[in-house]
Amino acid sequence: MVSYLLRRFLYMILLIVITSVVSFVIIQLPAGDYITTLAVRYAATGQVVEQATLDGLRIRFGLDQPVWVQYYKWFFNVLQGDLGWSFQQVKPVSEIIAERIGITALISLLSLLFAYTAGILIGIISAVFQYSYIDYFFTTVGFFGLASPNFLLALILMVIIFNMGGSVGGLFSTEYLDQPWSWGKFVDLLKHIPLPMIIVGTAGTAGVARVMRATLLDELEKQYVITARSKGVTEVRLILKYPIRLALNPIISTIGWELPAIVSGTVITDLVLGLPTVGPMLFSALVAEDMFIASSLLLFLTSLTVIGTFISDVLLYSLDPRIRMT
Amino acid sequence: MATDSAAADLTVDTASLEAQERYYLASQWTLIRQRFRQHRLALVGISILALFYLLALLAEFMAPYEVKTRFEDMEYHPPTRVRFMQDGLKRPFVYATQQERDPYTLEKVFALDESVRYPLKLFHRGDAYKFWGLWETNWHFIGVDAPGRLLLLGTDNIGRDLLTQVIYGSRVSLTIGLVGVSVSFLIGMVLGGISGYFGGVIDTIIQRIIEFLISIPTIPLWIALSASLPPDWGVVKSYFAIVCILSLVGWGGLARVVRGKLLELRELDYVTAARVMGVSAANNIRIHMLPNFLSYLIVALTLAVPGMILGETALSFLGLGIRPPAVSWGVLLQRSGNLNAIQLYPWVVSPVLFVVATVLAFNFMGDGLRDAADPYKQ
Amino acid sequence: MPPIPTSNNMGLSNLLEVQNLKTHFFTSEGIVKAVDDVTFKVAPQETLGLIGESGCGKSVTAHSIMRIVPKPGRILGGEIRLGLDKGVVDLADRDMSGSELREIRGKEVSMVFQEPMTSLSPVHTIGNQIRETIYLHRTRNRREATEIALDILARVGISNPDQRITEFPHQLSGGMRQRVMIAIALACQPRLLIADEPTTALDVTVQAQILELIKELQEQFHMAVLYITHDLGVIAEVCSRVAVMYLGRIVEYGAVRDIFNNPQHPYTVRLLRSIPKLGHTRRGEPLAAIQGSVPSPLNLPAHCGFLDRCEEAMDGSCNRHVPALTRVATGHSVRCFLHSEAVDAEGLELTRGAAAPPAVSQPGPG
Repeated sequence: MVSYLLRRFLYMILLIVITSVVSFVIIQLPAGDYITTLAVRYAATGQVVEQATLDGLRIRFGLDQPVWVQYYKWFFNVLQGDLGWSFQQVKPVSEIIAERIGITALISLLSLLFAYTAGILIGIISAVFQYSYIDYFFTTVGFFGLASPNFLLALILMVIIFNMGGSVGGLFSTEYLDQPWSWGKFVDLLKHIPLPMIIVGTAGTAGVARVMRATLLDELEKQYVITARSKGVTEVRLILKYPIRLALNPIISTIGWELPAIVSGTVITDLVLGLPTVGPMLFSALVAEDMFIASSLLLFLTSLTVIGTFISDVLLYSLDPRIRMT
Repeated sequence: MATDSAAADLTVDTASLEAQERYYLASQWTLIRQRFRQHRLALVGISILALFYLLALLAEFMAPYEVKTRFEDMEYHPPTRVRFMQDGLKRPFVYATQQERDPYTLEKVFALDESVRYPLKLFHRGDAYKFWGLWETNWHFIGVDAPGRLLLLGTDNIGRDLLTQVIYGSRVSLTIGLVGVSVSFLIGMVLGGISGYFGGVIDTIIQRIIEFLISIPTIPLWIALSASLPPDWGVVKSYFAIVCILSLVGWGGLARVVRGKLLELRELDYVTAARVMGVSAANNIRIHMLPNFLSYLIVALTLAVPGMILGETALSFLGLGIRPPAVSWGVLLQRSGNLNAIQLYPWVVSPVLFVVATVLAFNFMGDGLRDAADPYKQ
Repeated sequence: MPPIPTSNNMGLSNLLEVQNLKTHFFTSEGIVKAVDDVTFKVAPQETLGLIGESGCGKSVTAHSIMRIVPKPGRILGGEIRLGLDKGVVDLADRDMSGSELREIRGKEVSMVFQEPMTSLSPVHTIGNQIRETIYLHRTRNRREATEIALDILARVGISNPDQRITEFPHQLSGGMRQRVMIAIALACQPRLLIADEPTTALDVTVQAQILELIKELQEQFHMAVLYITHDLGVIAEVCSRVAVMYLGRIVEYGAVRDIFNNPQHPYTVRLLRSIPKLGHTRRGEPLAAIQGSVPSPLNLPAHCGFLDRCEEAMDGSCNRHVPALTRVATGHSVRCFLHSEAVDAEGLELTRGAAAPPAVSQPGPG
């Protein structure tokens, strides 16, 4: 038992290390580096920067060394909590992204909870009342939910909310925008969070509901349900205790691919909604080739899903006695 | 006595017997076709797709205007209504419109001029173009005489006909899914095949790689990869680069399907028999296993297309996908994708309807194929 | 409807009286008359065997008594009278409330199913699943319920019940699981146990143990057993009376002794002949099998179901009408025109028999 968890844990660590390599290498892919971008920008404004100055900058940031040395240094600094420097903002990366990482993790977590709560409920209703109008309704909505691009859903919902007089965009009211954290600011954040949570969670909801409905329909006809019915158990209790309990296992194993989808979703919807999260920052850092920030954010986003998958493994393990045995 | 009644039964039921006979003798593909035809949504899906791909194929001819045509006096023109009635039923026509300033709000509005009618014409001679870049012509499927304008989906911020843009854009958006799936398929097929056929350590390694790929959130990876494309790459080069990026991330799922099915088939007696008789691995896969899981493969491929189309839309929307002057549905959405435009000129998001319709159509078709793929199930 | 000779006793001398039960399945391809006009009785503490080939409707009969017929199926008519302390209830009565029904399920009538592998929930402990019945019908007290569960587990021959009660089904062998199923069924000491092929999925040696166990427990608990099987040997071992089912109808019904020694229906005759007997069959001589196979139960023809396989079928009666179940001796009835002219249902004219489906079997796909 301990060995199973330990194995999964070590596997997760291995995945994170691989992820860090991938994150770093991808960011290194573009021809040139931040200094090149900088030189181009100066040149565009008519200033001439001497080659020696640029080389000096490269040496200062360690950009003159081979990629693997750069990676090695970066990764070991990351392990010690030092994420490197942002060229754009001339600040330590950790300082810039700390708050955004917190908010991103919060939105992702809430979206995940929303997707699973709504998805499981809808799946149960659809399965128990199979081929009813409510089942058809949810199935249709689910189809469209899966078929429409997230960002457009975000735009359309924004327009609707805007027309209803709601506030759109951002996660904080203007009075809290540049304030340090306080209880008031936190409450303000909670008021703004439902919109991104729902938008990001919608696609996931459709997916979860689909899996839940199919699994539940499968389980509802199993022999052990009939056994329980022949014991005299009431229908409601029957469904709650057996098929739903069993359908939870496949549902939890979907976290492995539902979570990456949700993290993907936040990146693009947050860009549209203009939220102070990791997504928009990753985007601008990528465009500007601000490599340390981009690598750190990419590493964070992928680690989020790797850790999520590990948690789902642990959950699955504790829920299914059949896995526990092996 | 008993034989009498049996004979009676036989004469009575020859019709249904023949039906059964046909069922038992029908080939797998005949059965698949029959089952597919019974799936109504799948038929709807395949019809939509046929229409869309036809539009893409004949884009220059089907679009009312040329792709570069701009009506400078008609920015954000709302969709033109085709009318049938004016003092009784008439042949379909549109009214002329004129840009004016609202005297109170000073906003630009388009006023209908009901005195001038432009009838719709089939095989209308309009903007000149080179069909498939080969033949110079000016035939359009439908149009109205200038200065009348047929703007069925309205215009965008610089006065281009949206329908024309959508039809031209479908060339990129509809092919990127197919090309992307083909590339994924190639990678998935080879690696999944190796994994499923040989098993053992190779299998474990490939499975771990797939697991890793699936656990990475796609969009950050896509934008990171797209951002790394050199900005000076041309339209065609970047198109193929985007395809590769989409399929590099997406082949994992397909490889899993291939492997799963191969593992199942590998255990079948006739495959083992062929192996024992010394048939080479490649031949065994090709001759004995491929026909058996071709149907599953087609289903998996169909269901993989929507993801690619949505991926392209997302990337282009972020400005990291298809590059102008090429048009795709994602590019169109990017041009109009701000709150104000949608608020004031809601028709600018109409390209998304085409995205949703295509994705739904592929899903329906895939579901229908999946049900049909196993014709012996019931 | 001609009178059914076997139904005369309206009193409570029997525990269960099933009369003219009809359970049909309304599938997209047509109506499957899984149970069509079935009548039988079970006396208190008696064991009635219900025998027939797979698909003859014996399990559906059992499901009808428990009222757990799966979806496209419905009980269309007939009565299932069960004698309880408070009086007689009709389980086929569709107006019966859910709570009334649940009072009977698991408490008065219990059922053991064919597949011990799938009958138990894989994610709940044995204890949890036994206690569930006890909580419902005997006590809400957890300690008491555990006591009862441990006692019943010991009685069905499970060693180490203290430990087993915390285990999951996949930790037990098939035979053990079936013992657990029996324990669950007997936890509330029902008057009637329906055993639906409880030994079919088990090894031969385990089969004998389970049979022995059911016999023992029947005496201990003073309960009646409705034993469903396709195995004549099992019938001979545990039952006092037997009903032979074919295509949704009972074709012969009587004491085991009478039916084994003096079978009347051609189907029963051939069924008995097809059992290999040690020492009675010469080496190399083929076993007597029943020719043909069971017709499709879809849109059953309105004539004797055994017609196509019967060597003694008579033109004009067997292929025109359904024979009635008729008494041929005390406690022995047969549904065959060889023994009685009585008609149960008029057949369709064969000449316009487009409604009659082909009497061919459905060969397996591929």
